[in-house]
Amino acid sequence: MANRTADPGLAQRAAALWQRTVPWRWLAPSTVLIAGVVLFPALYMVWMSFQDISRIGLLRGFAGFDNYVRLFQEDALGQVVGNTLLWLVIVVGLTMLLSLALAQFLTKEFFGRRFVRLALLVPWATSLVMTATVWRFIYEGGNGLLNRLLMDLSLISAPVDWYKDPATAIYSVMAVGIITSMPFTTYVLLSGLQTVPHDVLEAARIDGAGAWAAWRRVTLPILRPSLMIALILNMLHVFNAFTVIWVIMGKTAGNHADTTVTWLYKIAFTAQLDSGEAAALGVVNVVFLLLLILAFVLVLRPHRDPAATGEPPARKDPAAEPGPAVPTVAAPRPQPVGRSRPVLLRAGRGWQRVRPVALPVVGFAVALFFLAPYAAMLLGSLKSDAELFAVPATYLPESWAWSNYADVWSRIPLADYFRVSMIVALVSTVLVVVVGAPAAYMLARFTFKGRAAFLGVILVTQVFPAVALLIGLYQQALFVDGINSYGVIIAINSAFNLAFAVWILHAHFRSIPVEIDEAAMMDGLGRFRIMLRMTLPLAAPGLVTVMIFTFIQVWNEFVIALTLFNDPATGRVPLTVGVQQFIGLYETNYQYLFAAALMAIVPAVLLFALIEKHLVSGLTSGSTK
Amino acid sequence: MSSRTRPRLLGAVAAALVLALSACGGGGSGGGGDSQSIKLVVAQYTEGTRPYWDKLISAFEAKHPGRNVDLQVIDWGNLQSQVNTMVQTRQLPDVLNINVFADYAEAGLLYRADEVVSKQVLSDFLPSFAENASYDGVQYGLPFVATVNGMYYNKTILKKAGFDQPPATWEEFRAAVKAIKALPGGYVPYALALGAEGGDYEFGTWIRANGGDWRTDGKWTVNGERSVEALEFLKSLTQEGYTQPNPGQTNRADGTWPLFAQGKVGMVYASFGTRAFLDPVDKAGVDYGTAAHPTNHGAEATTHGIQDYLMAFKKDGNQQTVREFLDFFYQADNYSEYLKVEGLLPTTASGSSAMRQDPKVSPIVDMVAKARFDPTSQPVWAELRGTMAADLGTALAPDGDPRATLGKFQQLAERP
Repeated sequence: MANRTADPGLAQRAAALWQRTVPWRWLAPSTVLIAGVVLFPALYMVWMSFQDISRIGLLRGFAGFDNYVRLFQEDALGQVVGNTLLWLVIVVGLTMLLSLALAQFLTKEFFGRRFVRLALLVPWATSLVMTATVWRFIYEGGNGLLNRLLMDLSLISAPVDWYKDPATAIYSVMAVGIITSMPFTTYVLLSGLQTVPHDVLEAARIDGAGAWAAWRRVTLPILRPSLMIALILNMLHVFNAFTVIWVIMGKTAGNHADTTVTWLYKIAFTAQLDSGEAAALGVVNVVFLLLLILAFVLVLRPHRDPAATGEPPARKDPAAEPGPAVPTVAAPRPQPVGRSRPVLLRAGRGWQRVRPVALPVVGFAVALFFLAPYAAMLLGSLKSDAELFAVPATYLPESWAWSNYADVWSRIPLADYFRVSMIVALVSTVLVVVVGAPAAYMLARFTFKGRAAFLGVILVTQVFPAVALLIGLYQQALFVDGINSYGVIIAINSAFNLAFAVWILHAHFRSIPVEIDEAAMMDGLGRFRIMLRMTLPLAAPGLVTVMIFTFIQVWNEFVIALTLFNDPATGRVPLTVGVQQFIGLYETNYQYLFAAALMAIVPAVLLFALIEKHLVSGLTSGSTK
Repeated sequence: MSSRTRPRLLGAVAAALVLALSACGGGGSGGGGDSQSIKLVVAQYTEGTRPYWDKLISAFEAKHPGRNVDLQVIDWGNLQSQVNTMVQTRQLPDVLNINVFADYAEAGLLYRADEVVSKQVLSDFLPSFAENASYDGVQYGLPFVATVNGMYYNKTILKKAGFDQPPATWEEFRAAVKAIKALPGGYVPYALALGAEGGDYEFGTWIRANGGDWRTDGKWTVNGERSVEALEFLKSLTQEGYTQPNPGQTNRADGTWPLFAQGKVGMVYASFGTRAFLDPVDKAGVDYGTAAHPTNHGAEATTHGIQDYLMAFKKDGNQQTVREFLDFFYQADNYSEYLKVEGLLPTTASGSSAMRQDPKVSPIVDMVAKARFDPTSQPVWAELRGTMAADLGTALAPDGDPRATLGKFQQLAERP
């Protein structure tokens, strides 16, 4: 990187300076976007926590630490903190474990694998509001589907009030929390598993390593960055699990299932009506999360480990050689040929025979499990009101009201909502990739001062509960005259999803051998072109994950859009906001709600069915050079 | 060299993109200072809400050329948070439909009622409703729609249990629930909804049935002896199994009402004549009757009146347009059309007499006379209500403590 021109003095210093700022210039777009969107509302939240704010939102002056004092005197504080920690441990722990198993399973080649992977997309692609609504439906007492099923199987003798009974409520909600976090976690891990070189695994096995040892010694270390990302993001999402808890539990008395975010909402808008105290809780929440992240970034140093060992050269091989398209099938075969105890050998042979049947059966069961709530949704969308509440619940509708699907288009301008949501989600996704990729590339390829700090700081964007930022965001949007403007909602959505994109891409870029860059540089390619032509295609699985994640997050975003982007007069209403019309004070038109929700899943799933295969083939097809 | 200029180019492209994005919006409704244009924020009652207002607004705009009404319909679950955001950021609506008004009146944000509607409209409001829309003796809220709530009972079940009449006292009520529980068929004697959606509504009704009230002689009596006794009574009903399971977590619309519509429930607290409640009941052919809740200590039988409000916010130069619009809305035909769409009761004399023409509705309109209201004209009520709704149900649990729970609410009400 030395300067070839030997200009003395000023020019040289300027050039050196120019050189030193290279990383920051690559990081500039993301920095600008995040600072521009998140900084003000965050500061505003802190400021609000020191203000005396009336029940209707009028500012009455400086309050000192009154809000904090009031917060710490609340009777429910202990219970809510306990719930939050419980959620943190159980939901995050089980989500990680189950997702890891599922991801590992999905790397196996078997009949119907694609179907299982797509089935996994469905819960992810469905708006969380809808998923939570259908779960509440399934969890009902006398008229609940779960109770009907369990009673038919004679597992329980009387209906259980899954979400109403204080004894079971929090666990019922946690189960939904786990099920809804699993698809995203599984995809992150799955894309991480794609980078595990098969020949290294094979070599390990030839050297006599058992399956478990090979997994622990080879797969796990390589998977570590992905695991870390999934872990951190899941922990942050605990504090954003607002939708699930609120939809299921929001209208039941007591705090027995509240975590800090739902409690914050209650304090601000339903019970205490005290935005100041709510902001104080928001601040406490953020401080706690920051400490948690700090612990991760400093103590565990998730982004340093993989590159520090001698991994990169090993990883170069699968990329450099085109490789057979089906290495997974080839890999297990040499295993039994070596030295194996007879029992194991026989078991192995037995497994070989059962495998073609067992894997698809298990896969099908998994797919069924994830699709079941949506089957309930589909059947619900075809039932009449009376049937929706029938005791005991019916599995199939008595009369299939397919007309609901036609009616819903004329009841609300559904097509317009689709169009608006699609524009916002697509443009935000593109913006996130365009802005996030250079940043991730720079973070992966350069060591410079402030690199770790940058990675930590962008994660901070994820720690603010959206509910607490709402008023600040609104204030800011007013300032730029951007209420109901596409620009603002897209900028906000992009800024809040950038952290994930940068982290995922950064981890994937790191796992691509530097030698490829160096070779390309010698061929005269510029950095930017290297990123564009070499690195990005090689990181296709990560890129796809990022795109899916961002698109779905934006597609499902509700609270911010409701406040900042909701103008029926000009037709600017996103889908999630628009379908709320079916929720009245006394009646909820579940049929239409479900019908609209199911139709909203279709474009998302179709879109990802198209790019999902890159997740599988991205690694090998990208490295044709 | 090219490798160096590239990132700058990218930055420039990104910046331009951001600029272009923020530029392509902007338009929208914005503004607001223009006196010709007002912002109307209304609550979503049913899916008929938006179509009604859309139609009304275009009729209004056609009649008053140059006037413009921007409509925002928000569902109840998000209404308060959205309005708070508007207040805090000083983006007040011109006309708002919500279930509280006293806080806004206390803060001096509202026009007096006589400033924004004509004398005819003002004198047309039913007196008890107008009084319930007043703060410090001055009417600020415009009575908008009402529900009157009381008891529906299933005639078939009561008859099977040996009762031709609904119970009028708590003793009779106890005997009735006992008899219903003894029947085969697993009936729920009384479906109780003390969940967070409207638990305080039903509980207030029980307090009044016991001869108490939220306020007595100008003082809060949330934890008065009668209130405590009422909550203990409900707890004992729950613990003895005379209600459906977990009434503290049950709400009306998705809890007790569907149960009643299935003919599984002896008695239930519900809104008289509300379409959302009655349609499924009628469809299922349940034979029902209506009554006031049974009383204790010889209390007067009452029903529970709930009204929602319209209110107009003071903003420079908006008074004329607001007044024209509100008068237009309260025109008899426009107003009764709205009631029909939502299936709710009128708050005006002319609206009531129009409704009385309908033989199905007229007995309900008469129930209005027995209606008692919650103290919504007390600014603290909004917060008290919210807290009560959130916590009331916990008192019904085996380890719940009615007296302590109500004591907490009382403290909140009396807080200076």
